[in-house]
Amino acid sequence: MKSAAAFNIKAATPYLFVAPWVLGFAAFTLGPLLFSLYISFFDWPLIGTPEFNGGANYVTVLTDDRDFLRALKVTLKFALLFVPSNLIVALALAMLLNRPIFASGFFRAVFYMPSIISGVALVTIWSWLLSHEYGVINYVLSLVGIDGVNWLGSPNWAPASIVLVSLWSVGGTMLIFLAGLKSIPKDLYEAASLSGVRATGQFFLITLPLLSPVLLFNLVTTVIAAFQQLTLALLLTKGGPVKSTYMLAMYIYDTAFKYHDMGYAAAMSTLMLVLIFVLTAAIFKLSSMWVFYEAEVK
Amino acid sequence: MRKWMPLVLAAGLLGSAAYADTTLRFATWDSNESLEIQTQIAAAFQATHPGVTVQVEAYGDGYDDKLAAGFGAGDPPDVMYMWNYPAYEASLLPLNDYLAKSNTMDMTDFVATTLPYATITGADGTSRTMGIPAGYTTLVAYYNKDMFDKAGLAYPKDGWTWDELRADAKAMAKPDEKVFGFGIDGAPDTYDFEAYLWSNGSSWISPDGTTTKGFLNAPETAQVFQMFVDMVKSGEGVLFGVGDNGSYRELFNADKLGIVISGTWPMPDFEAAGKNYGVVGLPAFAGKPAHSQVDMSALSIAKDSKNPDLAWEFVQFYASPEAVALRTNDLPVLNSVAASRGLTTDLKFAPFFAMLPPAGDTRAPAFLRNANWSRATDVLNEAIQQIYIDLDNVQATLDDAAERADEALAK
Repeated sequence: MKSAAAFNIKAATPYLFVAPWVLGFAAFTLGPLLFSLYISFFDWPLIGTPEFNGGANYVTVLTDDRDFLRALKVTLKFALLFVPSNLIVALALAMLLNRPIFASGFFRAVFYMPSIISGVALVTIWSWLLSHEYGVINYVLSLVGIDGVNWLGSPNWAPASIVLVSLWSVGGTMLIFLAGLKSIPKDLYEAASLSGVRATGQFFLITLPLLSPVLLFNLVTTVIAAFQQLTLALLLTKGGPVKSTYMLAMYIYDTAFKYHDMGYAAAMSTLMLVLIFVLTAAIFKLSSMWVFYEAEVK
Repeated sequence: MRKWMPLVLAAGLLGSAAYADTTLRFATWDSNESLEIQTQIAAAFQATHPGVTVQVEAYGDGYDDKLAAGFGAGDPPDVMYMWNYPAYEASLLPLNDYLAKSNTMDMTDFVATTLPYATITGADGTSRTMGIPAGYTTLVAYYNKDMFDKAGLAYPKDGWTWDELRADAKAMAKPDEKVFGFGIDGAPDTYDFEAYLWSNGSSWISPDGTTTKGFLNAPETAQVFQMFVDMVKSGEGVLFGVGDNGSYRELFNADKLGIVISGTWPMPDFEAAGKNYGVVGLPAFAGKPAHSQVDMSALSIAKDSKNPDLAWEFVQFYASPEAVALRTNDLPVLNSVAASRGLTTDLKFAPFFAMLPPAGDTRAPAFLRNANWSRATDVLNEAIQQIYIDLDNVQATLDDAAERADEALAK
């Protein structure tokens, strides 16, 4: 009897360790997710009585909502700018920090630090830097004879400005690249150097192929981040000017809390989830063409 | 008297015993000094209601989002600031019964034109009081006396016109030195902006609340926007609230802005900066009377409140002369308090009272005419941004906006 109890506790230990996370996930992620799916089939006003309306929300979103299409276009355009620029900058920084330079630990910390600054503080700093008439960026541009642009006030420049600001928080992605770079065996580069392969050649022949699994991971997470972008657009431009930065996540937020239409907002969230899922699946499907795993023999 | 004391005390204890250890939640959109006033009023209420704690919940920016979330989760505050009655009506307690029973509320002392804003008339013609006015302001023009003096201009007088304002603005403006005659809100609250439309004989939406076509894009509406566009182009005016020109207050305080239109809001700032300024009613379009909006905060009670009676006591207290006198961040809703503070004859305050809508005025803000108005507001905000970016195509932009606003209202 005694030994049976001891056995049970032993068996339960790992589950107890993961329990806080699992419970938290169930209560704060999976639960709301399923509930959101449920209410997406209702006309669910924030105030008043919900009414089941079948798939009416989905039909309207997909066939008769100009605003949804518009927000989707803005989001796609943003993702097209955001994903490559974030990956390139993160990789470039990681490669710089991977060199055996003086105080490399210090620089790593410095480049990572913006990622832990709260979005609000970040936005405050950048709205000063990007100011049309008084901003540092336009001042520096004026020193080299370039007329600055109205970064946040022009519908043509505002989306790019948000991407620019997002680059400030590239630290997380950079760190994962750096870890990937560290795991590439040094002797490969030595052998390449001895064979007369130049630095660019080494990058394309050694670094990129061996880093491709890490690149795949970063690509997927960055794509997801692009589609879920809300903070920067909300705080920096409020979706403007003229809705040029009004992304899907903002439209969903407004529909839920400004227009009090929870069911419709939930339907849009589900569609966004499906869209992200399809994109991610496509990236994985296509990854076999360019991702190289060391264990695999081709 | 003395022998009655124990009785009075006992009665007091009995009265408060009913609410021993009760927390009353009160949500406000106020911040800074205005929030300080709410805390004072709450403390004064607690002093007369032992055992009751008033929890002042300052939602600040995003007030509506947080309130809506509270209602949605079935956990609203007991008492709250309210403006959008049509949208929240289903969750609010109609106050008619409480008002009928109250022996402390004197509704005749309220500034009469504030009451219709918090009243909803049902399809059957019955009217329900959904909120008790707490404070309000009308719109006026502030002018910088030093700048007027420097330009050798006479101070504006009530009943002045936009043509006169533009002439003054032109005389004061030096765009090269970033000195401007008139401040134009580049991202206006469409609610306040409608004052200009009313003054020019139009509005955002039809009186029956069904369409914006022929109103939002009426020639009179376009004229208003065209006038502001012309002022920006000529340098008479400057857009604030967009891009770099965050606040008109800094410009005004630095003697770089001659005239600006607002409510009571900037007054404490101008006073603190020691500005030499004057206040005058809104300018009129030639041959038409000027009209202002009434920006009003009122207190409402949640239908789901666990302590509706206590909530009502708080609302009654909030509307008492004692509490109204504490509220110095806007205009007193009680005529008696306005008179006792000498505001109605004060040169800086009298114009606010003069801008109150005349009795029997049937104009109503758009949100009271259509419960879905907040969706149309977004279309409108976008159109206004477009107009001030293009500084052109006013009529075409408004035509398109009316089309889309009607679509939004139908959602």
